[in-house]
Amino acid sequence: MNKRSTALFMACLLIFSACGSAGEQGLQGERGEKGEAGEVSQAAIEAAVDAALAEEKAEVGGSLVIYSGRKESLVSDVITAFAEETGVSVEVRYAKSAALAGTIALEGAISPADVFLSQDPVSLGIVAKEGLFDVLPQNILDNVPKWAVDQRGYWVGTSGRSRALVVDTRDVMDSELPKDIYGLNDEKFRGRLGLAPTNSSFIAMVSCMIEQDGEEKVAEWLTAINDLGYTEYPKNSPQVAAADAGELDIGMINHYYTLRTLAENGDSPIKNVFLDSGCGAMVMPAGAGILSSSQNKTAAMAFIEYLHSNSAQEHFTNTVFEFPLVAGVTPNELLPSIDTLNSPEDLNWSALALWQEKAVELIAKAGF
Amino acid sequence: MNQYSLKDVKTPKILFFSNIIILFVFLMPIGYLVYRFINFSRSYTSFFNSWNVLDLLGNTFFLFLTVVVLSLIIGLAVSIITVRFDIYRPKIFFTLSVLPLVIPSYIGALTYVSAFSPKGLFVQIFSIFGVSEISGIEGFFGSCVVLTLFTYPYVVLICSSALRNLDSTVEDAARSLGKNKFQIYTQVVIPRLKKPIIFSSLLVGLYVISDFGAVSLMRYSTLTKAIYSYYELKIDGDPVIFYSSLLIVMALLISFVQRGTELSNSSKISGTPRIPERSQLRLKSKFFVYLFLTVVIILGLILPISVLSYWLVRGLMSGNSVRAVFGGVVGSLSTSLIAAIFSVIIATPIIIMVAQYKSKFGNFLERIMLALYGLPHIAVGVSILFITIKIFPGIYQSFTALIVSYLIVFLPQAIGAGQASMEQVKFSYLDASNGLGNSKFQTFYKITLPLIYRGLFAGGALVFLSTMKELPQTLLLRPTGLNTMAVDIWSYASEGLFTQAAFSSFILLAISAIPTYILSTRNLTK
Repeated sequence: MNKRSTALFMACLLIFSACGSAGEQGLQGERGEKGEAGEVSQAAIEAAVDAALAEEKAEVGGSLVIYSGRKESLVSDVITAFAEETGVSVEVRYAKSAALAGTIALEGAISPADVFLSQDPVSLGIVAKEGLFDVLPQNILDNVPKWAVDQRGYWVGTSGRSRALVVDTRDVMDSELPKDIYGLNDEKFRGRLGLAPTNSSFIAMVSCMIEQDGEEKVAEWLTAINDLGYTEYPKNSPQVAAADAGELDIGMINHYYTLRTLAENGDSPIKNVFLDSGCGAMVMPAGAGILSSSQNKTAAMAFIEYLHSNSAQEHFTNTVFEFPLVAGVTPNELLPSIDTLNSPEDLNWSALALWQEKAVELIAKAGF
Repeated sequence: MNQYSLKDVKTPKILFFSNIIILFVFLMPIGYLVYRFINFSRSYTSFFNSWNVLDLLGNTFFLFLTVVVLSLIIGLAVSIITVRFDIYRPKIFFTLSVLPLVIPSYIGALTYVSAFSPKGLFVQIFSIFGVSEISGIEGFFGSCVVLTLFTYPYVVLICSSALRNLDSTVEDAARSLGKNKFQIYTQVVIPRLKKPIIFSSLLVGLYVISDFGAVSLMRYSTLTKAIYSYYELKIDGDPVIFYSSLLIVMALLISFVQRGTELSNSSKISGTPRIPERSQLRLKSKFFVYLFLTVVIILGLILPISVLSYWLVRGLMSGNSVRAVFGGVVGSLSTSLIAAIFSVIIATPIIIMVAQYKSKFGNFLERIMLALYGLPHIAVGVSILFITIKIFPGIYQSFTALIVSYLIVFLPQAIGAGQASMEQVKFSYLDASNGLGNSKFQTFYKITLPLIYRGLFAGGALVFLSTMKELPQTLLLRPTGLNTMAVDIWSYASEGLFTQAAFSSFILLAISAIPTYILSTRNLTK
């Protein structure tokens, strides 16, 4: 009996020691000791080694965990360049901005993230609302226009984007198009609309609509759009591809995917339509903030500064086709002048964040 | 049957305690959901009012029912044809019709959505015949097609092996009573396959309700799709917990109903079993049989593989580079191998406990493990996510937590395969070994292990295969920086990078083919 028991005991020990070494603390991990999660400390060791190896060119060093709500294909070049220039070892977790904001809110003090890079201000506002961001230094906030920063300084914009409609000009005439987003609720658009209901920017737009026009009107509009029959997409970019392929007439998107397609193929029959007023014309910043629980604040700050550097801003405008936010960087020629857009003025991003949950509920309730 | 029983022998304490710990870990996800469920801040009726619960439940149930019925029809037909009819090379047809099992439903759905999109491959090919527009394949219909095509092989695997061992004397009797071939199958053969039919419909049913990839790509709103949508919108929403709980209740109910029906035994026939000759087919029926098999194989196997090949070739020819997929391959292999190894290590004490020590606890353990079979992956993933954040932050987003989550869902597969081989370990062997002065450990090492290691290996291979294909748990729980091929394929596809998605899919299929081959050369139901 004893030998057998010993063997099984050893087997169990093996299991738990393996768990322990992978997770640092094993199954009985103590709660709430921030920064001790296995991944971080392991990354820290690797970072130390990397930093030692790359000492001559490393200016900053250390390690950084970025939660990125922006797509890998849009930001990975910038992040790689940052890592190479500064010697910081960077790990990135890509997911949707809203999901990451929710994740950070849930993680609270134990969040492994140092920086949250979001595609929309509402997701940033959720983390700010939970009190999980550090206030950024004034010189960083001053890099960009006032409309693109959090009023309390918890996050800063890194590039600008506008809500827009992508239109297949073969099937849609300019005269058909509405003045604002509510105009899409019209029989003539039955079966012709596309949208991405879980896209963070779409939710941000709906949050804006609730703030500006009231819950009731928005609920009515969402139900009406659903009744008209719409095509659901997981993201914005496939709507542009669908319009380009002739499968979709009108999609509710952010402006830059259309420009990307047009830059690759000048003959593409699609175009952006910027609405005349209301939240359908909203211009919003993508931005970033530093988590209070971060143990790597120097590297985090260096990263945000890097996002405001000329090379990063030029990448955002010339490769991603967004509006650069830092003075002195010329917007790509395919972009309209940002002054010609009719975004609602003085949007309070933290107020919009308060509506996010309601927006999600209304979207679900309308049957999307 | 066994001459000796170890009923009176006390279970070794260490076996008892290690199994208690395992049981605790396994019940934790359900326990946490129950805890959250009873502590909701809002009323249950508010969910029904504002979160489309009835629609989602209805959609999920309707899909479950339709796919189970369709899979049974196709699977039984394929089984009967390949086992009982005189067709050309039945083994090849059998293998080809089982192979779709390797294709994860999200890859299958991806190829179908693309091939039948309004300007997709189907329209391009058939435009010479004047087809200019099709409405696309999605929603309930699309989900049904894809899920049926990738689950009917379960029915074929299980029912065909039962059919091979079915004694045909009753059929002979029925024939002598003047029943025709069709009546013999519907009134005699199929009713006698009741057990394998119920078992395979359980497998298919559980697969359908926990499937996440196919319904998402087909844009059909089921509970799993709703869970992931809410996770993407706002993770801490009560709906995620509420839907996960509903999904688990649904899975447990399905298992429960299945066990209930299993209790009523089918009558046994005495006498020497007789294996029937393959029946000859008339020319006309032969045509329909081959047509049927061909269509099934084209839809389940050839179409998805062709679409993937087309993407890859088209992409490479137009100059798209295939980015290195090294990270995904390493991630998939390491997670799958480790999950497989640990599943075997953990399954062994459970199997021994259940088989050799007929204690109350052993029986209880067996029942729990059976009931846990097929817990919806996404619900377990959600629960582990919350547990690691709230209770065990030390292993949050760690490799450990991911593996634990895989094991909770896949361990019953390893136990099932091991248990089958445990039947060869007769108590008389153990007794003889004891009599020769061997300790319990020596007996285990010299007698039990050599007899069951093949079964354990098969169990490990099953877990390896399942982990390779796994998507939702990996999406929710993976450590930052860890990619698997499944996650790569998923994100490439959602960004429209089809060349890349196809390339990763091929590697995934190629690697999955190895354990599938090993498994298909064994009789799994024994």
